[in-house]
Amino acid sequence: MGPGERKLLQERMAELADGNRNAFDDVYALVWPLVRGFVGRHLRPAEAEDAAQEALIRVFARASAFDSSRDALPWILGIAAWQIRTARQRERRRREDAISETELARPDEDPRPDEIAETRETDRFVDAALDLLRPEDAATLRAYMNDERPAVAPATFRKRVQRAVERARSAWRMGHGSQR
Amino acid sequence: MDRNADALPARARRAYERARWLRALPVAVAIPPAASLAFLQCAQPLESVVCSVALGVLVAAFLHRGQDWGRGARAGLIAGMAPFLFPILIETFGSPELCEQLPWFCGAGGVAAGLFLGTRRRMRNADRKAYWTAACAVALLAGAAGCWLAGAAGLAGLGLGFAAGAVPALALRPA
Repeated sequence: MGPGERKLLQERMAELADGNRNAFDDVYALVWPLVRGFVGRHLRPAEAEDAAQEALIRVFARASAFDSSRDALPWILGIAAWQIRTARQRERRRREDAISETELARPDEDPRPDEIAETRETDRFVDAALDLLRPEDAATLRAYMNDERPAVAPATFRKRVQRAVERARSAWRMGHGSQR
Repeated sequence: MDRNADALPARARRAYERARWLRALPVAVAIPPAASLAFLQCAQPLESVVCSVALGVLVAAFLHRGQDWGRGARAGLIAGMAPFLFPILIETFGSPELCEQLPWFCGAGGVAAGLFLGTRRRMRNADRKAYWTAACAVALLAGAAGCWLAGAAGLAGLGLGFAAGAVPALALRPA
């Protein structure tokens, strides 16, 4: 804004503060590009337009209280700066809310109580079945369940697992009378 | 909120006008309670209430309008204090003989109001018609709120006194 425009702005703002509605259009024409440019330099384009409009509305809402002995330009930019601050705070709050919602929506990585109970029941069943086997069969099945591969040929290991499972089923049937 | 940029000047204008009303409103709201001094003494409280409410509305409208209308209203309020307070003070503290002379005190208050307005410093580029319309209306209404104590005679005294104070002062001031 050049010195001429600044002087005109000062005069027109003083007139508007006094109640001269004829000064409205001049003040609008001078203030809107000023506020839009100032806000646009400090905020992202998506937020800048709304914040600039709100700042302009506030300038006119406070125009009657403008003290003509003060400089109009810093007074207007002060209102715009406050609006920038408000827009930033609003954006920060929105981001914080969005993060909170994402955290709430994320599935819980810890198992549910019913899953824990089911796993414990299965473990008990397996332990009971393994206790009925010979130690070498139990070791084979434990290695199979834990994805461990002993130093034997894969085909040999598969055969041992198959036998261990068959013996476990037989032992379970004899011990508990069930097909489980 | 309407985000349409085309509507922005209209929104700005509405915000400006609304803010001016909000600034004028406290004055308008404060006037009737202040004028309740007259209601306490008045034999015709209804008229005083009407006067003070009308005064509040008028002052708010002039202050909202601004410029010389607003300046005139402020000057009129100050000028109207004399004719408003004189009869109230006499009625409250004066002897019965003085109370019978109430219209004269209304006249004296009117003279004081007229002189105050007539001798005020003239401003450059002022809209004298607007200033005087607002100032006279507000001063006379404020005075009337007090002078109802003396009835129609009090109002007549106020009007005559106001003219007697303002007209010579205006006629004698340098061009």
